[in-house]
Amino acid sequence: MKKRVLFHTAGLITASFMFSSCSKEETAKTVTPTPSLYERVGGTTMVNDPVNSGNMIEAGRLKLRAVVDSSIFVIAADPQMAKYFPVLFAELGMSNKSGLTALSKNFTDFMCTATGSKNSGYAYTGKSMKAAHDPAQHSRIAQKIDKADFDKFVGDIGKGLAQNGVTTANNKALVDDLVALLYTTQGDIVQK
Amino acid sequence: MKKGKFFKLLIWSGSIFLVVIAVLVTHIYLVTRISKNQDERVRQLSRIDFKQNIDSQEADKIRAFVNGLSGVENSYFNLDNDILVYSYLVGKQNSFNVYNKLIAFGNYKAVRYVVNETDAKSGCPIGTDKTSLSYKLAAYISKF
Repeated sequence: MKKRVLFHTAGLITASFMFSSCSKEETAKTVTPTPSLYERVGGTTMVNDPVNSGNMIEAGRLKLRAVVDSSIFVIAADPQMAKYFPVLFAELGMSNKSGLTALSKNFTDFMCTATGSKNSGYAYTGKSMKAAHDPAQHSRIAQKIDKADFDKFVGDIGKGLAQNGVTTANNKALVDDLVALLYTTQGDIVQK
Repeated sequence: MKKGKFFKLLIWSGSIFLVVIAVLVTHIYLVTRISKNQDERVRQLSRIDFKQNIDSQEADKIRAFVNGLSGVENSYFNLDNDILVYSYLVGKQNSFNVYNKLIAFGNYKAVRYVVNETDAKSGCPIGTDKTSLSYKLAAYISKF
């Protein structure tokens, strides 16, 4: 009788230990966070800012800024897109202020926020996407954008990504997710 | 009494004039200075449209030349449309100089892309008129 009680007790302890192990494993699996897009492009690791010597910058922002800057060039050299940004090329004598620096910073801030950056210093504080792309509310956008040009814009961003070493050939998942992110703004940006 | 009023008016007018000049000088300085911080730099984007077919090798040559000019930060060549876009620091380089040097370098058939006046009006208004006082003042201050 004593032996049977001992045997059952041991069985119960073993079983409860096994079940608790399983449930811990399952819990661990469910709480593993999926890395944000921001983490996937470099995240919060601090690195030297190559264009601002002596300054540190999060690797995620550095990558996004490089993509934004490359994309601005691609868009500016795209005759289909240049009509939206004439002021970027407006050379106003010795003290011109085309807004290139502001565009780069705002676009980078937007991408940081949209991809999941938690750094308040990188937060996008500009106009809503709808207001920013409405000529009536934002004088720096020359006209309303149509779907064909929005698709071209996304394609140009793809070229900007490729210039920074991210292509569908080497990282299709990242390209697809970034493109999907851009398309979440389509409803606000396409106003024609 | 009248003399006193006249002097008061003169002092007020002089003070307001000095404040306006100080604000203008500060504005021009902030616009034209070359900051160490990239986010604060005043950069200009310019474009040159080529009227001849440029292949990738020639485009690389053009970009290398333009990138090598003082004040030019970066460039991109759209091979499909034969368009060069480059950025430079305002006050350190200008698009006339880049264009002239590039044409002298390669004798290319190309034109500077110039935005029409209506579109340009949506930017900073200072300096649109080269004969204006503000333009001359900006040109003078930017030398420092």
